[in-house]
Amino acid sequence: MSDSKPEEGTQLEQGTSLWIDALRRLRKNYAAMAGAAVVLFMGFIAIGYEVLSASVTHFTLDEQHPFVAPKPPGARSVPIVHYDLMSTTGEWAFEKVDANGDGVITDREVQQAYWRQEFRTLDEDSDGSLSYGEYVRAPLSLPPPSEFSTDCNKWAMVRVSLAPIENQDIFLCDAGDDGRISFEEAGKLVEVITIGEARSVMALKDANEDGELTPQEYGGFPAPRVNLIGTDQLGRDLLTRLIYGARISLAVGLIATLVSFLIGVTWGATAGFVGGKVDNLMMRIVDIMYGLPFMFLVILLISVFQTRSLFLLFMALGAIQWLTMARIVRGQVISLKKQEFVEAARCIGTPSAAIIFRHLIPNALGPIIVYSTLTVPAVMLEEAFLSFLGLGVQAPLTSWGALASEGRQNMEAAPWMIIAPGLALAVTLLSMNFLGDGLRDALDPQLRKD
Amino acid sequence: MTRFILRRLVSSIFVILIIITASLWITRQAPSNPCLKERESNTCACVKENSLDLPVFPIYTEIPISPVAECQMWEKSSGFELGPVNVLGPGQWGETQYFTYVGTLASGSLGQSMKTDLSVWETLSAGIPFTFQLGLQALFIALLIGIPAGLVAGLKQNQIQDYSLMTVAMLGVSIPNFVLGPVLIMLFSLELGWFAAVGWDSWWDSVLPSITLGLYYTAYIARLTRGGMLEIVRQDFIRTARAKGLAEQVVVVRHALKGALLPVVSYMGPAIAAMLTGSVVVEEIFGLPGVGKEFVRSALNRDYNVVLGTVIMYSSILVILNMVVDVVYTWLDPRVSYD
Amino acid sequence: MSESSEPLLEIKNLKTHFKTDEGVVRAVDGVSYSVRPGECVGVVGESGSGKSVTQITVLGLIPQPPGIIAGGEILFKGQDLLKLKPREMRKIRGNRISMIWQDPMTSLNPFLKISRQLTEPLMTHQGMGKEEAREKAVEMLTKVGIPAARERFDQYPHQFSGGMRQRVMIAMALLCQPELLIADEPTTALDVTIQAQILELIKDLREDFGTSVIMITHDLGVVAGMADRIIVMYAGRVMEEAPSNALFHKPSHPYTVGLLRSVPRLDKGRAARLIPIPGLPPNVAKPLPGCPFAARCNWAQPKCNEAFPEPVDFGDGHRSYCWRAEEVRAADLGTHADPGHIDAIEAKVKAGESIELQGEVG
Repeated sequence: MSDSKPEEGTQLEQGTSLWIDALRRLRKNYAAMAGAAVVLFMGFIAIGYEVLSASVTHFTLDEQHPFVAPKPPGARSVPIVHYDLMSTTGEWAFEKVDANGDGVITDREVQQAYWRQEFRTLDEDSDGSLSYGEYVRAPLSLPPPSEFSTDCNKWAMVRVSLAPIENQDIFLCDAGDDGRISFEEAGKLVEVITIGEARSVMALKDANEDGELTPQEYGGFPAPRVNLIGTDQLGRDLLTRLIYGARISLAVGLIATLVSFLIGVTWGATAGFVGGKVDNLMMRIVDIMYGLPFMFLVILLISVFQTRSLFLLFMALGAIQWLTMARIVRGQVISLKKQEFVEAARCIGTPSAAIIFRHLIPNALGPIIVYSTLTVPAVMLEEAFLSFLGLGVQAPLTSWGALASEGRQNMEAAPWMIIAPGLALAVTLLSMNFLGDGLRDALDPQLRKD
Repeated sequence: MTRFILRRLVSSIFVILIIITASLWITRQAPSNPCLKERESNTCACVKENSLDLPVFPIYTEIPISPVAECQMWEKSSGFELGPVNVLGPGQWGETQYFTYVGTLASGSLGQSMKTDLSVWETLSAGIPFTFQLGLQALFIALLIGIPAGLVAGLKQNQIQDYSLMTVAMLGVSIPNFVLGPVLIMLFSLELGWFAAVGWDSWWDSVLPSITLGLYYTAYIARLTRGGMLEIVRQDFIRTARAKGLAEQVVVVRHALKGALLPVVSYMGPAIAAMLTGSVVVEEIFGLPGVGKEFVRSALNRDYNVVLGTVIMYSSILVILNMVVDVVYTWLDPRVSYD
Repeated sequence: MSESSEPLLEIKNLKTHFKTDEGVVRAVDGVSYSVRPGECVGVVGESGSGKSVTQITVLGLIPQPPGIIAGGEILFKGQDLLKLKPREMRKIRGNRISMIWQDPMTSLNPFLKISRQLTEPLMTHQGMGKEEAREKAVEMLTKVGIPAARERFDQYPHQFSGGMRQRVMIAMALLCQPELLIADEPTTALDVTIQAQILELIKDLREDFGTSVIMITHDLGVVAGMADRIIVMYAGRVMEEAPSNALFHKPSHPYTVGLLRSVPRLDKGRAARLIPIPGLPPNVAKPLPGCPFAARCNWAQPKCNEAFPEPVDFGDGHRSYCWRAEEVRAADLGTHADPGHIDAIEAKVKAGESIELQGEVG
């Protein structure tokens, strides 16, 4: 008798804390926890764009490293903002870079030096020429398109502008008589830097701006860095843009959700609290608005106000997402306002506004949190939709939707351009949905049981 | 019942009027109303501005007709036949103008395109069959796959069928259609060559766009159906039905199905609205000459009359469809009274 | 009702458990009792005592998972229902055993017409045609006292009042003339005046059809006038089982005594105090070796927490599962007992004294 009673007491106490109970259930839901982890990770990435740009990707949002095509993942570019200088010894000694030995380095010589460097990287066995295997493994050799023909003459005509194609015949077209590709024959395979970029690289050191570097001015050049997931059609590092896109996409998602939250909670709480005819009218408006094509009105709005400002986007997207929130809040308020503690508050003369904000809203919080969590991915999807159509985020800003849109233009030549932002978007939305679902299950155990 | 439908009809007309007013008001707020400028300076400002200020965005590669030709075309037609924007002079915005436009709409005309010599209706009507077929097929896919999947998941709650179906459904609601579309094109058109990547020459080519548009709704409807089913099967009356000794399939089909599908019925209104929106992107991706593509092109070109016309046309369709959905719901759920 | 007649339903050591996040809930934990043909048995207990779960197990409607039938037998005319195939079980359910559910508001399908719901069992079990089934169903509706039954036959449940709906439920349960009718708190959700009508109806119909009835309730008053025998359940176990009169007059289990004392009685007026049983039912998710009532029992001894009591048989089917059953019986705490006498006994028991046995036992 005495040993079972205190146990029951503690049991009862535990049962009363809805939030602790919900948290415990949430922890058990692995999909939701994984979702939360991904969302947190994306959040950190979005916040840490500057740091990541400087120390991980080494590229910035807008610096262009143009080349024949979007560079595939694994290709190299020379960063111009966040760079580490290479040593000035060995192949990068002044004398080696100054190929013609006239005592100054010109842009052509810089470009050649980078090309030679790239060639040495590709030449895995350091025998001075590239075998077919090395040629295929080079990041800039592209898989052949389906309708590709292997006519050396035709190839000679287009090779000026194209990256080499991973094809034995093309390899033989490019290779010398020995069946191997030397530096001179490598062409586009090693052209990691354009002459324009070479000038920019030199300008970093060129104190007197004469377009030439003396031994005194020369102090090493930026080391080439890998574009981990390739570049876009302007040669901008895709990973960097993706990280920046996370910032915009998440910001739109959060702020528009906040806007919808504010409108929805105010509308729903007012309707539920006032009740009667006002409630009827307000909810009828919500009902009607449910079935309307809001995105079309938003598009109209955006096309009329030609400024594609983020602020307008936040407002427009938030303004069309509040309907469900209003319904949920109203339902909660109606069920809560009948309860005794509201009566008690009324009896001691608490004003209506105080009742709504201090008593009702904190109690209705569970479903509101769940729905807000599910609104964020919905808004992000809408932002991406608009950006995809060219009606959302505009350059120089970018978002995942805008990146996906650019990717679609180059879908055939550069599939990574759509796969990367598409994957980022899908994974984030999936995580948020799992998290939202998990929260709902955790806060509404009724749905999970029996 | 008749009274109920009549009342809904009246409120629907009211809603359509509100939408017309709202979209006209938005259009009116344009900071650089091209035609006002045009009137003031008596030059072709709006056309020039539009041709110079085409969006940098490179989806549209069509070369716009020359500004001069466009201007002439624009000049030759006048009066309210053009639509709301063209005819507004400074200070003219008022109830006269508003009623003129609504009157025009009531007479069945959506006005004149500001960029071509076609009427808005002519511009849009060419795309309607494509959009209609696309939407219908997507809806068909969504209902035909979504409902059975949701039922299976709901009946096998917390079993392997439930988990696998709901994981797929979760993917379905998380993959944006503008990502899914290109991926499907890359896979089935470019890689395998089963479908045309762009355009719509035969029914076969409509399969991929329909799937792209329909997947989200398939997944969503599966989730709704599952939720509805779970809600229903824990009701007392299902236990009663079982206690009567009815076979399981009779319990599910006769006693549970109707209630479980009610959420899907009430989702139909928003679903069709969202599908029309989604078709804009799908038409874009697959290069289909539907209404959505025309709409986006007009929005980017600031052909306000076409944009307005589309908004009004779509809203009207949706308001009417919502009314139909409401009536069907009332008919399905005997508990709902006609008030 | 003679002891010798073959029982219609015999439940032997039935265990129905549920797996939950908190552990295995032992909703029914070794319940045994039987129902003879034509008999009305009342099953009484607080909510959560397992009285409904036992009946749902009898009907084979425990959802598995999370439910587990951990052991026992349910013999219906000598046939073990737990061993039947689902198809065979369906032939018994709604046909030979039927059930009236607690809440008539939620137990009828709101989407289907009454006619559909009533003709269904007839067409399923008796192979009737539609017209025949309709006739039979209307007849039954009239019998349960629904005015203008034929006109209302094609209405939806929401067009009926609560009492009328319960009548429809009863009609539905009796359509196939079942041998056993289980009524799960058939009056709890109804107004008091309607309650009496419904109870009277069940009583009359039981006589007309000769059906055995199991009446589940938490209200001793409901079974007092109806049941031939009463079974008192607590925390998934049977506490006491006795013929109606014996239970009220000679309660032999402290829990029964507690129940009797917490029922308001009109005949005693203000003189009788209502004495609630202190505490809450135990958490059945944790295994309890002893008597589940021990924690709330004034009579409890250390032994009570160690092992569940063996039944003490007083004859005439009166059994009590209490280590001190004979003392409780001897204390004479039935409904006719004088409050002063009860207080005196209470004081004695609290002091740890034992009660001297008076009269013959067994």
